[in-house]
Amino acid sequence: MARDFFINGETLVSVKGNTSSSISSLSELGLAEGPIRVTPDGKHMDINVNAWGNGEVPPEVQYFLSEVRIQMALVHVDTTVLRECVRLSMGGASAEGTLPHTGARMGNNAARFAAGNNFIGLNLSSPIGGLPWRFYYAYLTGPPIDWPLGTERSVIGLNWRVIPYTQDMYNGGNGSLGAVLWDHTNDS
Amino acid sequence: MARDFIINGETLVKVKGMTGTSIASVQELGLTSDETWIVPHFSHRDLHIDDFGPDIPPEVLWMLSTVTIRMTLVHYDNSILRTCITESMAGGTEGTMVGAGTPMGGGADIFSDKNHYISLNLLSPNLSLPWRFRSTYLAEPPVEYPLGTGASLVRLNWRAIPYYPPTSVGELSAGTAYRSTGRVLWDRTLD
Repeated sequence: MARDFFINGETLVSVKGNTSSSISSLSELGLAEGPIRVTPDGKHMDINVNAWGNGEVPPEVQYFLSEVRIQMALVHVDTTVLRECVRLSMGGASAEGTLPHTGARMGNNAARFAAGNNFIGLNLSSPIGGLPWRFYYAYLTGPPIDWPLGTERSVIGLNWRVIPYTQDMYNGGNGSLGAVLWDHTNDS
Repeated sequence: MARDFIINGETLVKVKGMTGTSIASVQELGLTSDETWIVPHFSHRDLHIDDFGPDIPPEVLWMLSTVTIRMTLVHYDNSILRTCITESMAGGTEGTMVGAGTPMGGGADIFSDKNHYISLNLLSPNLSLPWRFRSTYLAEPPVEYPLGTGASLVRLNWRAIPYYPPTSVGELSAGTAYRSTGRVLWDRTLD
C-alpha cells in the first residue's frame, strides 16, 4: 500500500456487553465531536549487562504486553447505552451509580460476553478508511466520563482502557501468546 | 550451549504428595505474581591440620545441601494449597496439631502412606529446563496469607531436603550405613 492521507471517516462508536446486560446485542453508543484517539501503550523492560555499562543503554529489551487507551468526546449519544457502559465498568453493579463489592472482578473468569463478564466490546467503524477497530475487553476509567450539564448540548468525554483479559493465563505454557487486544473486524 | 539471556517462561507450579490426599496425583498449585527463587544452601566443613595453622583449611568436606524455594502465588488452587499446608504440618486435619516429633518421611517411600513430603515441580515452557524437588515441605515461615478486598498474593517458602527412607535397597538389613551417595535433591524430570 502506497503512502496517502488516511481518513477514517464518520467514526460510529458501538458497544456490546454480556448476555445479562441491556447491550447484549451490538448497540450504537454515538458519534464523537472530534477525533477519537487510540493510544496503545506497550510495556518493555531492559535487560542490562555490566559489559554494556551501568544500565543506561541495554543490549536487549523484552516485551511485556500492552494495554490501550481510547479517548473520545461524544456529542450525539445514546445515553441509555452510555449509562449501561458506566454500570458495567463499575464492576457490573446492580444499577448505575450503585457500588458492587469492593474488589469485584471485571472478567469473573467468564468468557467474552458471558454472564458475569463485565468487559465491553468497543467497536469503532471506519466507513472511509476501511480499517475498523474492535477492542475485545474495554472498560471506562481514569476518569470514566466527564459529563457537563447545562443549557448547551453536552459533549461527554469518555476514557476507555483495554487489557488482554483471559480466563487461562497459563494457556498450556503459551501464556499470553494469542491473546487478542484488538483486531479490525467489528462485532456483530 | 553458548551464553544467552536465560528466560524460563511461564512457570507453573505443580505438586504431588501422599497417597490418599488430594495431591496423590500431580496437581496444579498455581502461577506466581513474580519470579520463583531457587536458593540452594550448600554445607561444607573445613578440615584443619595444624601444619596449615588454625584458620585456613587445606581441604574442605562436602556435607550435602538443602534448597529453599520462594514464591508468591497469585492465581492458585486454594484447596491444593491447603493440602500442602496440612501435609507440611505432618498431615492430619488442616490447622490441627499432630504429635510433636512426628517424622515427615515416616520411614516410608515418597508418595506412600506416612510420608508427608511433597514433590514440588516448576515447569519451564520456554527454557525446557524444569525443576523437580522430590521431598519438600513449607517452612520458615511456610505461608504468609493476606486477607482483604484485593486478590490474595500468598507467599510460600519451601524447604527441600535429600530425604530417602532408610530401608531403601535393603541398606539396614545388609548392615551398611545410611548412605547419602546418589540421593536426589532435585532433578529435571517432572512428576
